[in-house]
Amino acid sequence: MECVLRPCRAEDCAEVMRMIKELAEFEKLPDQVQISDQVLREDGFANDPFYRCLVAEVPPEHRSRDGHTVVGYGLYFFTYSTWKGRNIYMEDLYVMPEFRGKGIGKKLMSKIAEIGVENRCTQLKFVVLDWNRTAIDFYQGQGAVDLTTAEGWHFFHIEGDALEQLAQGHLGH
Amino acid sequence: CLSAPFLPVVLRADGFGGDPFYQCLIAELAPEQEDKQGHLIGYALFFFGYSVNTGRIVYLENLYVVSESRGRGIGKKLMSEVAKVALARGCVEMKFTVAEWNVRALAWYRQLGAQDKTEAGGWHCMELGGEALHRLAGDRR
Repeated sequence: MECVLRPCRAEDCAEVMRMIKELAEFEKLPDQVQISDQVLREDGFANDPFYRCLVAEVPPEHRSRDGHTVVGYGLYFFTYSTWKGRNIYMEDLYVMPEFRGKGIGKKLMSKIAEIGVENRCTQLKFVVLDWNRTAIDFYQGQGAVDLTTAEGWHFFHIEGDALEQLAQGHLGH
Repeated sequence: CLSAPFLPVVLRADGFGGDPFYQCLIAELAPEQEDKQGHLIGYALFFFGYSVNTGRIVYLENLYVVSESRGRGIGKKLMSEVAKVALARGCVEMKFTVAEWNVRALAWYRQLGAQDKTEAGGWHCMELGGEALHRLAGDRR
């Protein structure tokens, strides 16, 4: 089946938002999605975009059961390591279930890797849930290393009120 | 594995060229306390990114205070300044990684309100580089 990868356009944001929610459902974390397609559009298509996104599109004759032709996406941004320099961070990689097993996920990830190499990035980084064996096996099959298991790195965050209080210097001693 | 020492020229090009990959805040001693090793005593290196859950985020790549200047709230002040820059840019979340054996750092970050998403949610940090990255990119070299 013919599938084209192309940069996401502002008008694709509603479709990408639909798939973000589908992925969150799969990850058993549907309540965590707090942004809207409007926010996605503002943050990706203003003067200083916070992310970039590729979409996978099939021709109309191969559209999904629900009538969608945009069937997958890869959302990424550039990052930095003081040890290794420029990196590329893959925030989301998703293909709708009915379009899996056709190499679209690998094609998206490969394109992101290519963009990384073109921009002199040395690492492609991302996170994965420890129970998602299919994904972990796929990624390790591509040569990815699980830094949490191998080196004990833990992923932390500070958000909401805690971030506000940190900014005001109210937490800790 | 050990990487080669990072060249200052690369750090300069990547932070101060046309399209900076990171920002860096430094902590400096006031002149009257200047010591013979120079007066930079700490830094916080960060960049902006995205979360499909929360939107704009800031990622804290490195936070460091020289050992003789620790215990004076400088690390916390650096974190606080990064948080201010982040909020000013519309970020609602700060992310970073900590090694699980670094027990003091884990406790320090927790008391600042940080949550361990690896422990709480099972998130693992993955990395794909070197030969594997080039292979995936379809690099024919």
